[in-house]
Amino acid sequence: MILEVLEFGFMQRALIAGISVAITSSVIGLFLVLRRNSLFGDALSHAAFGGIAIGLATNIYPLWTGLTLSILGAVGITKLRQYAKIPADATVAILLSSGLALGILLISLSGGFTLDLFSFLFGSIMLVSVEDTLAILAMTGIILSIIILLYRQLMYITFDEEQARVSGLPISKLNYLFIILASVAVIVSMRLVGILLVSSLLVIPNVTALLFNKGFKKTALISVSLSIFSVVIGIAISYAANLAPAGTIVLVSTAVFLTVLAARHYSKKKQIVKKLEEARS
Amino acid sequence: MNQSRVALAAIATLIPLAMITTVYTGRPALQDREEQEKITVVASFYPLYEFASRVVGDRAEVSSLVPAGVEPHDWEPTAEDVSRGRAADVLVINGAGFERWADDMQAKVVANTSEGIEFNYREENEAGDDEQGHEDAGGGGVNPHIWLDPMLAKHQIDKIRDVMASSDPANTDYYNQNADRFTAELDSLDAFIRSELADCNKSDFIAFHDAFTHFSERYGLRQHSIHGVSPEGEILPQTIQQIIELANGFGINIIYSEDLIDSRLADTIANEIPNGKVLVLSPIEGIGNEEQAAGIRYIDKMKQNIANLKEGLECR
Amino acid sequence: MQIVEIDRLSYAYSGNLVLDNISFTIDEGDILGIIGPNGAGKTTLFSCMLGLLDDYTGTIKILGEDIKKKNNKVFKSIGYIQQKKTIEQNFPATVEEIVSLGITITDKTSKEKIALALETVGLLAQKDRRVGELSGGQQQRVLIAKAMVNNPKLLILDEPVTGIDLEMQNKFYSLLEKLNQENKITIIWASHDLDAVNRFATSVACINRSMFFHGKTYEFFENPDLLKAYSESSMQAHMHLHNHTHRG
Repeated sequence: MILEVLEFGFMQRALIAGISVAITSSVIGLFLVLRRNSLFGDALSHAAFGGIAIGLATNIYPLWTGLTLSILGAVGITKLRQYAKIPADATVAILLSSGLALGILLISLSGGFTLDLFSFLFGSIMLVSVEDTLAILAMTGIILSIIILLYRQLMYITFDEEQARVSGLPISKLNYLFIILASVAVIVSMRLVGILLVSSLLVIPNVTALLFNKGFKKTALISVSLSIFSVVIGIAISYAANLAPAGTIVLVSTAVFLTVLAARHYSKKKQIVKKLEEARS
Repeated sequence: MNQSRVALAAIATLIPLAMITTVYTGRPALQDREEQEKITVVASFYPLYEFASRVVGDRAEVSSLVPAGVEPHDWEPTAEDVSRGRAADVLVINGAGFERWADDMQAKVVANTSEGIEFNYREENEAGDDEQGHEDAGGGGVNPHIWLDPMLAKHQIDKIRDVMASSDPANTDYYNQNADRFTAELDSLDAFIRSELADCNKSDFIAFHDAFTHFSERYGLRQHSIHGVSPEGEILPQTIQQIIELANGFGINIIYSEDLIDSRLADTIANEIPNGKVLVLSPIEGIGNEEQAAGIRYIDKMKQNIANLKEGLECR
Repeated sequence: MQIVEIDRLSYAYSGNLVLDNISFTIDEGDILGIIGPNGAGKTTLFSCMLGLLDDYTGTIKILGEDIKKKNNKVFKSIGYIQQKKTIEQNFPATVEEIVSLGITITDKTSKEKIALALETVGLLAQKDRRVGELSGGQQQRVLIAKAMVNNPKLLILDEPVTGIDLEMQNKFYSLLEKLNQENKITIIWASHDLDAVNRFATSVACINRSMFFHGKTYEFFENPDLLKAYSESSMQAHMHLHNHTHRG
């Protein structure tokens, strides 16, 4: 039953787009998680929500206004952090709630939109068109190649920003570039899993991958694999059980996280017992 | 020092003043209405607005609660809408569970235009996620989209006329005349539809949501729908597959979308079927400002629908 | 050749003069021990030299170039190790990956350079382990390997052995000597371990907001008056600092 549905173009596109988004969001998310900025994606997507509302209200293609607003918001909170020395989580809260508030305000002003707002909130992975898929693939390609090209610099900033600055890296340029990449990644994933679930794709696979205690490259690879696994299995389950795809994908990745956590806990316990036994004998 | 204090005080008084004036100038309608002697009629959404306007002509002031071009299924009234509904002399609603907020409005007089229609509830709609649809309907499984059947629309006109006549007996004759004129137009629309759809290869079509049930019953067609009664909610993968199989089964290559809805779902399905194509079949739940300005009304919309339906049903 | 020339450097932070009119030079191949009590401005001095702070007065020239010009070439020839800072235990990076951060341009020789640096600090066998799993002393050596992998001309170390056990400290100092003699790296090293400075530094700068002494190591340590004055001023600095925090 699952194989035959693969003949449908919409399923193929959902899988291709889903896998692309899984890759970009987990790669971008690794840096966010390590910089203790896990909710940044949420802030970006909510800012994008405000932007989408602007687009809908002014008849501009909403994804562009969404992208613009999330980039502006992200640059804004970065500046806020630097100059006003406001803690990162507080700036995230500011961007998140003002983006959402802007969206709600505009919706109430216009008395509701003709366009299906629901699809922005919860995504519509089943409805990606051929053009969408190509655009997503292109964006994934661009984001991935930039990250691969700058991966050591970004890792350095993540490891120790001051050291990175001392060694002559253009920190603020790299940070802004990263923010723009993150905004693009968020907008793309938002189309598929919705504003409310974006940050789960950024965060959960990476938190799971960190449990493996590996190096940077390996952690990134594990995270990408887990993310792809969650998307593919999530889509398969959502089809087989006729469940909402976005929610299913996220819950699969949560299940993977819990499984890895339990396995790690179990193996740790076993190690302790083993050590005790060795000590006794 | 003193000067700046004066300036501050001036600003401090000016700001609230400015706010008050904007509030007042922002709502001139409220003030005007109190001065008017005309009866005020508030209709819930587009077709009822047009129906009511046609009946009352220039003897009453008609406005619509759901703004032009807004999909009314998920619409909720704001506080201002509620006070507008209460202040009105007559509130015209579709009924049949469409306006779930109607009771809370506590309007003076409610013209429930579906009152008296005998619904024979059918369970024939195979396609789509019917379960969701029925839950949404709320009105005991009644499909509320009666205005799309010109004969039921006539009933709605009658209902509006009756309520207007009892609210404003002085103008009864005027209302009767107007209603008769519109009813005649609906009769000729009915005849037009019958002749246009007289010679068709198909009787099955796939609507975006469950809006054409009464229409199909009237003209001997069979409606299948992607969504249930309400055109919203995340689409499930199996639903898409079912619609594709259904379309292939009936040899349907035209998938209908709606004017107030993102057409991506219809596009996706049309992409999967041979020679697939998306056309609009408007449930006339709202007409955008631009179209209204261009003079497009209910009957024009119905005729556009028929033209698109003819293509899908392969009529000659 | 003088690798560092500092001329009348002053720096104030929120109304307090942290560095007051400091001038000194460092010759190539020197190991300069900078001593001074806590809060004497050692870290601030380094921050100025590394371009992290630039609202100072006076001039700092490194490799003959004013650092205000922000010439990246200059900064790339400096290796810097911060005051002992714990590496996040869960940070997902192997020893090799951390050392690779020190390389500015990666090419085919990068792997060899990393291996060489790790061999110098005696951690080659650990290259695939996660840094978070290593001991504090080992982590510090990883950071040294990172600082030297790019063949810096100047290594700046800010109290690098804080929190590391004595045996490790001695190994660490031997490593510094080796880097200095074999790799010809000039080293500036802040410490308050006078004994270690006496043993390993070739010259000494004693800072307590202003320059208190600058000269050859033996000149400082063989002069009982200077030593006495230093310890007294250190005490005073402590008192001063103490009072200050109470007031502030």
